[in-house]
Amino acid sequence: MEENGTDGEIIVASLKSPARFGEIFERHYNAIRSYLGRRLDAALADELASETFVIAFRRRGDYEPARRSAAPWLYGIATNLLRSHRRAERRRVLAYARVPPEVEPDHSADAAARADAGVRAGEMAQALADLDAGDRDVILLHALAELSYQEIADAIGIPIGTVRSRLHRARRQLREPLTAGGQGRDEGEVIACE
Amino acid sequence: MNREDEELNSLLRELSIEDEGAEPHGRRRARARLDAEIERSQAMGSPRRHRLSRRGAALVAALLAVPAGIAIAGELHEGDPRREIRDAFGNPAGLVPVDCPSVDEALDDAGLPRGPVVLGECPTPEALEELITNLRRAKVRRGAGATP
Repeated sequence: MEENGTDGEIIVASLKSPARFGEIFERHYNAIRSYLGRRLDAALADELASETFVIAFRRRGDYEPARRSAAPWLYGIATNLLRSHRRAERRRVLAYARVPPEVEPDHSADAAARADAGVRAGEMAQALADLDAGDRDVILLHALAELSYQEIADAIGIPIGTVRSRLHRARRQLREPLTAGGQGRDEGEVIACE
Repeated sequence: MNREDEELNSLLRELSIEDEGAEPHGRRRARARLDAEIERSQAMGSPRRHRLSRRGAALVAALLAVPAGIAIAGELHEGDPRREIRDAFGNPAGLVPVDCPSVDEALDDAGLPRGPVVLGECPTPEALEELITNLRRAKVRRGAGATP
């Protein structure tokens, strides 16, 4: 990964040789596009992924070279761009809530459990859509981008303590439908889980 | 991270399935756009260091120049993603994106008025934080009289 230097080194080098910034694109485009593609439709994800790297290039003079990986910085730019498309994201999540994962006709013993899982996934999608936008950013940077708490703090410019509290609140809200589902399960499902 | 948190993350990943997208066309277009930007910067000369700081200063200067609550918005032309802000005398004072909710949210959270902010584009979180800090200072300097 760091054969040609750390991201920080490449970005510093790109101040004199701008073409070197292409290496940052090659290293991180897929991850950034994938993250955006999980939150927005494909066309918008393409557009914002492209915009992320153009903005990053323009702002490379502000990059802190001591940061070896540019990933948190890039996710931060992408997340900031995404804020202008909250409605599109919410529509996408709500569409999922209305149409939970399709449960194919199934004659196996766990068909009921799968149907239940589908309903709970829909409820969880609704809970995700209902999250405060800042809380949703934090939990999705953690779950989808797999950033650490410190990296999330760096990415969106908030204290690490705020990251922790937002994650805690988001998890609690997202678990509510799961917990409610668990309370409603019948004995057979409990046995099946054991 | 405990097992429950990992399971929750796993569920979120399942919920957030990536659409069948325009790959690899999107990637090629993105790379071409970046390369064009790189070429443009090379044609312009030296890299723009501290661009955010200068913009931050420009934002505050614009803020101080525009009396609060009397901005007049008007469309530049059809399809333009920005609107024009004019000062109390009807003079152009800057451009603001039509849709920049991060700024609106931050202003609301800070209890600051939306009127006097003049932006050319939505700021990064760092620039936004700096902007809010500067707006608070400006408000204090004005004796808390900036709210329309």
